[in-house]
Amino acid sequence: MQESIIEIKSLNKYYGKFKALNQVDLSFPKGKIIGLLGPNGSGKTTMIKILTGLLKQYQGEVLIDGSPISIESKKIISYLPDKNCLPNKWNVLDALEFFKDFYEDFEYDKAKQLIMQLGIDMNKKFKSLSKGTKEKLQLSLVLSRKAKIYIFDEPIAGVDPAARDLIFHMILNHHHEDSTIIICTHLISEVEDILDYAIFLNQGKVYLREDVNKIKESSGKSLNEVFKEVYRYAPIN
Amino acid sequence: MRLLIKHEFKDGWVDILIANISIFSSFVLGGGLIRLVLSINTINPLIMSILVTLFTAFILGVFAGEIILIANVVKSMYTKFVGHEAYLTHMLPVSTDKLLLSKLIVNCIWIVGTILVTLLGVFILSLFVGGFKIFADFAAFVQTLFQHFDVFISVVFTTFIQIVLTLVTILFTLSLLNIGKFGKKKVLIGVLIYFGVGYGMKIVNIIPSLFSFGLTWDGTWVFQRSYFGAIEILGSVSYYQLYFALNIPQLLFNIGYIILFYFLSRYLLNRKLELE
Repeated sequence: MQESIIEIKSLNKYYGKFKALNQVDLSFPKGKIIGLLGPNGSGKTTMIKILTGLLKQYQGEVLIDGSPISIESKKIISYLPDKNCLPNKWNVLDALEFFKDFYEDFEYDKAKQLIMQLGIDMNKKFKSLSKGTKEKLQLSLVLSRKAKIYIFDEPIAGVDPAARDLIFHMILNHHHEDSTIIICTHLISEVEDILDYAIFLNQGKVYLREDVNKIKESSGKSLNEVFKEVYRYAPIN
Repeated sequence: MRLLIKHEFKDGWVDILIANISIFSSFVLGGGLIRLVLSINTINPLIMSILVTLFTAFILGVFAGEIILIANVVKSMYTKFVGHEAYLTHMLPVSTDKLLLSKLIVNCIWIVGTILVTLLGVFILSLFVGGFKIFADFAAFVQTLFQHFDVFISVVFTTFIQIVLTLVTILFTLSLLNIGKFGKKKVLIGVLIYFGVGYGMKIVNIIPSLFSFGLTWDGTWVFQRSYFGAIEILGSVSYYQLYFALNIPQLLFNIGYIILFYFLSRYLLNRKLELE
């Protein structure tokens, strides 16, 4: 049986009366590239925020590497949120210094090298950078940690196709060996070739969780086609 | 903790410096204007109107500096704990206590520093108005302070406690705002919560006002019972604030509020955090 790095048991999350996550039981296998897939509003980001400790009001149990969410779990999770969270008045050097000071596993030289390869000016303030550049910068900082778990929430949303390829190239080539990668996205066709394992969320419930190759073999279809079948929308007349 | 404080300083010092430059330069300008007015023998309407305008600028400059300071304190707490940078803050592998304490320590330093700059500005203003004899007056004032050193320390300590209480009340307000879904009305509701909490404290302060024990301004320790505390306490300044340099029951209540709001803020951030 595959070892799990994250265990979720009976997870429920309410936003008022709306149930965003509904009795979710899930485990994330260790050392795999896992796609947390689903349309907008399926509960992906809610689940990610719970795993990273950014949402604290929920019912159920979440274990990260065998322990409840705590300061220790933050030491082993490197998280790329779906929006820019770095202070606008910072420049690149400020961000590098911050990550170096607070994360013991942060590789300063690697981060600097990645950022220089991207052609980003070290002294430029974040507020003057484009959305795509900020995304690449945050990605470089996240990948420069020797984390056990990398979580990327919508890393390619709102980014041009060339930049998407670059982002996946960076994720595949710069993450720490033996780490677990969780990519949360609704852009299945872009990401399916790199995934080992897929979890489909639909209206707060786990619809499907399986090895990607097994899904393709059993259905004879691509992951994107399976996704479209699962989340089929009624045609608009 | 040391690293958190370092980064807090790095993030805030420019805006605080701007605020203090505004305050200090306004006092220098004001002092110069008063000196100029005092030296004018004839009244020229044009010159007087320019002086009035500049004097208004002096008053506004001081206010602007204080407002920049307050805005920065509130904004830094909001941004770091529940706003734009909250993801970065709450993903750090540090305890909530360290996050809160580093924020409180640095903001205390900013406020105390600004108070000292304001006092220095008042001294410079006095220098312009009174001339160099102000140094003799200042020396006499310092001598009086040391003669009543207990009163001086009491005022400093009471002021410090009041600063900390203001900061934890802001922190509590922001933590409370995060758990509700207030949307565009967030600012208004935050203001209402803050002043509501303040007024609530005033009502609870009826209790310590009934038994006053402390150090008066002339340096004597006094115990006093009063049944009129309830009436006076709802006013802007109570009789006891005018009479006592250090009111022990009130001080203990303020320390109690600080502890209460701190632990409530910590609980809300630890258990009820809901980042959008």
